[in-house]
Amino acid sequence: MGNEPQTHVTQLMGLAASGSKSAVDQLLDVVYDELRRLAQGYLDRERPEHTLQATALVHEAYLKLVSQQSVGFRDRAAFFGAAATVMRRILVDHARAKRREKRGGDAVRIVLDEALAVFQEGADDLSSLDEALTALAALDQRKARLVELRFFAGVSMAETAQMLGISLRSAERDWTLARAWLRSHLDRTSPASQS
Amino acid sequence: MPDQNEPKPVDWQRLEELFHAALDRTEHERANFVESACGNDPPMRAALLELLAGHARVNSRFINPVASPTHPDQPPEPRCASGETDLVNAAAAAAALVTGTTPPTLTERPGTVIGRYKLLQEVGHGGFGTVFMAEQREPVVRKVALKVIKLGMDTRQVIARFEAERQALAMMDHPNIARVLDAGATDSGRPYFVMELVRGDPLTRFCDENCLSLRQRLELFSAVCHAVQHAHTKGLIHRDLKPSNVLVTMHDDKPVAKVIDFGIAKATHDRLTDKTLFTELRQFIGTPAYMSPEQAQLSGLDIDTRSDIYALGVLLYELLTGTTPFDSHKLLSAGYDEMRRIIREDEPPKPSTRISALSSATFSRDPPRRGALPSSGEQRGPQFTRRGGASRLNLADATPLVGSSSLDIAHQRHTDPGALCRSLRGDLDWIVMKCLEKDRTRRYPAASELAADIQRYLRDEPIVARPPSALYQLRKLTARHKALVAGMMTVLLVLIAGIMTTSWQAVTARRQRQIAERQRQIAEQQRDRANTEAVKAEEVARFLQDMLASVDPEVAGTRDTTLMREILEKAVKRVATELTGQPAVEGAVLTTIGNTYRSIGRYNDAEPHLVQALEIRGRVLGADHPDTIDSMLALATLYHAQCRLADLEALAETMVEVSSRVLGEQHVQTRCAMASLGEAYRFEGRYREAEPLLLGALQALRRDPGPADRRTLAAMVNLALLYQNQGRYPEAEPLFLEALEGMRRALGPDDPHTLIGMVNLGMLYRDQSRYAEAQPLVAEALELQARVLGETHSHTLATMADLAQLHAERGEFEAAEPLYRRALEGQRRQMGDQHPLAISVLIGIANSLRLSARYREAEPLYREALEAQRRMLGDEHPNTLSTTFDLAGVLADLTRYDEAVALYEQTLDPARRVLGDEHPHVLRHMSRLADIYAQRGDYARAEPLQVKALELLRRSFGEEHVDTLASLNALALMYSGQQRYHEAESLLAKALPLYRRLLGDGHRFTLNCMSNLAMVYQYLERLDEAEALTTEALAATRRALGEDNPETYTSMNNLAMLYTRRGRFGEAEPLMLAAYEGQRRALGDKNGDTIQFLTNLALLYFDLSKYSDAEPLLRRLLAARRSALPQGHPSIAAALGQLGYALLKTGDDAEAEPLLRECLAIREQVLPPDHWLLAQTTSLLGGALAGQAANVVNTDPAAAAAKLAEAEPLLIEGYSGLLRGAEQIPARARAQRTREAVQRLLELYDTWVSAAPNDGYGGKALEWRAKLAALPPAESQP
Repeated sequence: MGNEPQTHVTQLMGLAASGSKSAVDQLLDVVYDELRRLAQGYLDRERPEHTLQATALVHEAYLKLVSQQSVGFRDRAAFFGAAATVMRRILVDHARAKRREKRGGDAVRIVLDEALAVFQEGADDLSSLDEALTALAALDQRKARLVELRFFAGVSMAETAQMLGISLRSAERDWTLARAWLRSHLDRTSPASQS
Repeated sequence: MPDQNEPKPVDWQRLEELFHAALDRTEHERANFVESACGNDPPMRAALLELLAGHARVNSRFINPVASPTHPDQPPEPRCASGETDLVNAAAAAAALVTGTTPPTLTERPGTVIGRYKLLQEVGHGGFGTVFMAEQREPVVRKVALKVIKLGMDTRQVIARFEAERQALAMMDHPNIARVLDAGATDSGRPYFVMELVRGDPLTRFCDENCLSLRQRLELFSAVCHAVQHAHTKGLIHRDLKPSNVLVTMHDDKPVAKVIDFGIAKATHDRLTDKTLFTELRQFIGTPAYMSPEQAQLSGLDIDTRSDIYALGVLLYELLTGTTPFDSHKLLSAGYDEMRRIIREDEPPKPSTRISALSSATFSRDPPRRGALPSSGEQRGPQFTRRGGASRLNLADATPLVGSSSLDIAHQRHTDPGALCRSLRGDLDWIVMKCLEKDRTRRYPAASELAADIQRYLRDEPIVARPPSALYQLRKLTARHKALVAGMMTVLLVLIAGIMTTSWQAVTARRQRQIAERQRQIAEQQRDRANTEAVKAEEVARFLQDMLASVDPEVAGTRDTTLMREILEKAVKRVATELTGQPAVEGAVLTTIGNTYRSIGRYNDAEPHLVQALEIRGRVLGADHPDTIDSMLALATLYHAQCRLADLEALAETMVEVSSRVLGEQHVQTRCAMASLGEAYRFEGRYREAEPLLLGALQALRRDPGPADRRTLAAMVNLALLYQNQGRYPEAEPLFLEALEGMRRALGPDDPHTLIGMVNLGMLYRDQSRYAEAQPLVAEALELQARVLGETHSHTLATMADLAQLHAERGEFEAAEPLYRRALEGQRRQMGDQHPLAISVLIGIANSLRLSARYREAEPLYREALEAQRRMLGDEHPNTLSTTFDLAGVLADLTRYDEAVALYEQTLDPARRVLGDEHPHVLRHMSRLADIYAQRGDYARAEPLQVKALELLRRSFGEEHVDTLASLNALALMYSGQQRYHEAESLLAKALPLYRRLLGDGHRFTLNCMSNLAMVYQYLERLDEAEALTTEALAATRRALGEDNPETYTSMNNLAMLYTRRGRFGEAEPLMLAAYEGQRRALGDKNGDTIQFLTNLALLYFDLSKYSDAEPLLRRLLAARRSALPQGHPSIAAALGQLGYALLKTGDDAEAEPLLRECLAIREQVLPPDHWLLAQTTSLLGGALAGQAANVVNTDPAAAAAKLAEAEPLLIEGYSGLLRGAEQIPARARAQRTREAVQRLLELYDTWVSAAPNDGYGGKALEWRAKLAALPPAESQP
């Protein structure tokens, strides 16, 4: 394998950062494959009671795919942007699959970061969160994206702000609002789980 | 997703503004604000209130204050945007920290009462929180330290984790450990811990401020090690050892160290991962400098006591050099990923190197006004230039720390830089570096051993830690790339090469004397003085030899290796003290000691001695000297025993080269070296390269020193193993037999090598399915090994796993399981779980699970083993390939055929290339793949492959071999699938008695064969024979595997189907129901078998006319089919048709209609136009329409008439189609289908009569009533 995929990904990140749509798509594909593989690896390996750490996976994928030298902020942003989208998809798919075979008995608990745990506790599963996020995106794209970056790729608040091109203060305000909105949306759509 | 509860849309931007404006106000003002801001806009008001409520819930979800605030007059803590008690906000707070925004402050202050404690004064604070001196009031009044954790964490979890450790913490009682007394939550919801109050300075500061000498530091540090050891024996790991957690106070003018915070790291950062790691680094640890590589790992966080050993190493490093191995500022500024990489990969400089680097760096970094270059060579110093030899520039080297010069550091240690560097170089370097090993198995196994080594150093005794050998360093380098070690196959095979080299027992004795003799001769030629020394040396050598021989397990047959170890340890010390200046003797004695350690299975103890012996002999006698080659051979034997293949190969190649150059190709030692190399190749799966080497070596050794010599016997065994690996069993057998006989004669019947010979032969029999011969042989060997070598010797453990495998393969799982467990535990304890032997045991366990049909449990074990093998051996090693096949097999067992086929197909080619076309493994898996093709209905591919596999297997093994029989069975199943029942029957009838003889009546394979034959009998209408066999099979399966097992459920299904077939529906029902429910539990809803049983059960309900019981099942079936199959698949149509039928029967005609239409549409696509199922479906659809008409005929006659008009042609077409295709309809159902079609027509006209009484349908009704009466009756139902 060597450096080849790393260089490839680093290039893609560069292209994606400078606005190439096809590079973004390719990047999504590469990241998707790697994350899927990693996630599957964990799920195969781990005992049922083990947890899947979303941002750990993203970081691991980053280490695997990206050659460490000369990665600028914009390139890094492209990667984590793609990773957030992909991780969301993977986790939601997985949660749905698990929900379908509830009686199968070997439910793998997916626990994301503590950040997400807040929602999980009330929302029962990731697909509700996914739906809520989609609803939020319809109202306010930026806030939904912010949540995605924070939850699914573990990007720090400061970096998220940079990626979205807003001030840290705005990002924090968005974050507060987004969480409040998601919380109320989730509680409304699944009243049974209300605390 | 729209839903009814969704509030009316409001202006989002305005809502956002109002939300933030509201949050900026206190809770008191908020209500007024909301009212005034949107009093006249109710939707906005509702939306805002909801959002604010959501916000409150985000923040309150986490903590509920347990008591009222301490200061009742104060408003409750504001829950503003930075609400620090919230989990989410832990991340936000971390981000805030990164960007320099102020972190939230603490509300606890002196005077605050927390539970039983009153805070007195703040005594310290850090990233984690604040420490107060507090007064405990009850049950005793005393001063304690109370630590409030500052940043938001899940208090409940923290406390729960603490509670989990409380018992262990209570058991800790050590003068150098501060007791942790209590934990709880403050009123504001923060976790806190109460500890024994220790007033002191952090270890490093104390040492520096008091200018403690190196010795004083080491003594203090030793005490810390003992404290940590104490905790470790209580099962507690600190996880966060660092100077600030080791406080030193003066007690009677003596410094006493106390370790604080035990149990707190575990409670507060249980899950050190990714972001939390980085966050916590800053918040709780403050520096990653003490973090072990495994802690820096993202996942698989199994931190153990050895992480503490690492931290102790860092602590010692800092005590010695004043700096940590990696600079913490640098680590933090390197960024998260780079930091982890450094900790896991970079080798820090040795302490002495660091000191010399500091001194040179300090000089060269002198103020620029003195000139940029050091003015003299003297300033650079010899150490600095020597350091240039180090291949990699690492972070720590490159960044000498600001503010500490080596001069300061030395002064603080009562010495000067040069002297400090000298005292560090050597022993202390090695002690520290052994703690800092990346691979924790190479660290000190316990803190007490670290302390012991320090004590040894202080007493000027030889230490245990050793400089890494050149070989070791080479190995570390190659490890990053590939194949560090290898070799799996039969565990025992590994060990046989032990007899390759002259074992120390007999031959070494002779050689010791020769060496001493030679040494004496050399000495005589030199000086007079040497004479006496040589005599002395000889005496020492003899003495050691005698001492060791007296406790040799192979001689004395003793099981007690403790005595042996003690004597060896004494011997080691004497070598160090008495043999200095006698390198030749020292080399010989060290070789003896190393070989002895190896012979009692203490490989790690053997290595340093053998490495040292080789080094000494190479230096003194030269690389080409026979004794040096002998030392290499001894080391090679050890590497072989340790499965360190890359080392073994490198060494063997050198040996062959040197030996043939110096001693000649024909020399015995050259031949041995060649055999070693051949064995290394065999181990690596390079069979073709191995064969000429082993064959040539054996032929030469047979001539000289003769067939009875142990070296010849060893080569014989190695060649036999090669043949076995290659599947050339007939060639292997005579060699194994000859070697075993030879070893019995030459070494005795209880000799460890003889015992291995027995196991080898036994496992060859196993490969040939000769279980009756294999099992007693292996069992006997195990018993003898346990007696001669002890239960935990690696030979014994390996045999244990082999015997377990034999049991498992014969279906004796209760016997297999404990053996496996003991073997695995033993292996892991001895060599760690990444060792090839442990992995082979893991595979054995997986095989055993698979044999007992516990596929789901087997799969992850195979994957774990496979991953390890791929890493260690590469993708194309025979063992890796074999495990890949196993994994493919288990996937097929789980009916995940796509994955299985892909894996088989991609593995067969490399397997053919590596093992040859006719290797037993290749044949076996060819047959398995063909079987899967057949199961998927791909007979065109399945048949030729299976026929070929069977032919080759027959040729290799004859009929009576499990693989041949498996192929026979698979071929029969394929014929059965093609309705070639007579061919299937003849094959199975032949296989069954062979299975019974080979594996017994209760073995799963026998049972499978039995069930298959029964099934074929059923197809051939030989129902009595079928029932007898099926009943026997079910009883035997229950006995062998228990009630709750997929195989048992399958047997139940089979018998239920047979009852159904014979019309005994009442007997079939409970059995079928149990089979379905059980299989569903065992394998899940999506499993192919589960779905099959579901269908069977539903159809049985049809037979029993229990349509409403069938209905929910059929709904499940339809859902399963739809989710698993592409649209338009015939199986979807079948499910639609069956559900439609059940719905008609239960009167749900309206619901049946669309299902039947869909069913018909699919069947029109996929069936020939005259197929009876088309007619049947058409008639059913007509029935659904007519039924709906009947339901509305009284209320809406017009609508009814329309339905009827549509139904009539369908019903007529259906009926005539059934008549036309009557021949195709299964005999059993023919009469009923036709009858029902007529009944539906009759019902149509009866309804029509009610809808339109005057249209003459009465006559039609009469006509059809007459037809119905004329039909033969349907088969009567019980």
